[in-house]
Amino acid sequence: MLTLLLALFFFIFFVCVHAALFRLKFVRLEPHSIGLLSLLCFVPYGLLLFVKPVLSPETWPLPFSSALIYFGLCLWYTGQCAALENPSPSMMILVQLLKNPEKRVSPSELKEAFSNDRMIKPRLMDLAAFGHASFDGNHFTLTPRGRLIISVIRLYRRLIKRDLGG
Amino acid sequence: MPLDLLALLNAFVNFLLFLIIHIFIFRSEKYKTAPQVIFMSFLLGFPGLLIVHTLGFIFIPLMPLRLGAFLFTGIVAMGLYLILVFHYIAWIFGMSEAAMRIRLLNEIELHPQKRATLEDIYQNYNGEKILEVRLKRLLNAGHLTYDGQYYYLKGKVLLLQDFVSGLFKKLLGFPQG
Repeated sequence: MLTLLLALFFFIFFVCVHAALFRLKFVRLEPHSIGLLSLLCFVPYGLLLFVKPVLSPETWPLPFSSALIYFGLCLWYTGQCAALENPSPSMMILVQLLKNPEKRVSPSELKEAFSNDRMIKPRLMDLAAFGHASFDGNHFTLTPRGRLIISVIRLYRRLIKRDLGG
Repeated sequence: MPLDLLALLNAFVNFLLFLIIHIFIFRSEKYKTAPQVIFMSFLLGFPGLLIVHTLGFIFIPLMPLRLGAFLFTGIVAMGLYLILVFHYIAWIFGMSEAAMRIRLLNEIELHPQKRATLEDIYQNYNGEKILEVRLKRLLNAGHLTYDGQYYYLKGKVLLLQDFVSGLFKKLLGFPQG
């Protein structure tokens, strides 16, 4: 049980470190920087678990399981941070609903919020910025990385016999 | 070490079982909604967890045959299974089901010339289409209702996600409003 609490403690430690560095503008919300930070924060935890175990095997430390729990929590945190800068359409619908004192929204109000300039353009520019597509001022073309990503996902969707969503 | 090995093995074996079950059901095309398939497949992992866990305690050498160890390792295995299923749904199934960037990559790739302008993309995929798909999904999942004039919130799932996002924004010092 103490090992699980240690996993939770180091996850909270990682969250505090990331929040502090983010507020000081040393890191942003990109998954790779959060991932790197989680690895760095794992170093003292890894030392406690594997190099100088704080618990003897008789007290059920489960080091590999607790490491997986730590990284599972960090991955969840990464996903939540990514959603902050790019709210999902579901969250955008909720925001429109909550704006109204009667907590309701009409189809026309939603259509205004879901313009192409808000929904499509920024995401296409993200794809270009991350190197998944290139933009020559007029046309978008997939890079080899973008083609690989979409090929793998299409294969997966063929496996489960479902069309791509969006 | 044997306990750790058992917890990890148990979680991974039942995660594989979850994958096989839900892929099999999807391929059979005999289901109503995707969330039902995912949820049922996830639940079916639990008997598997218990079976693998019990067999592990019987057959793996050097296992501490104590009730405390049995229960504790079982809880850890369940937690690991939950983490694996959650991240599969979030990053693999969910992303291919709902991510707009993935759909945009597909739209560009599907274009006959393998390149597309904004107008080309808007013909098949645009803000209106995204809204239509998302509203349908939220209505089917029971998160919204529609009375012919307005959409209303139903249930607390969306509010819970909004609450969690709000906590994160406060933690990271995002400006309020």
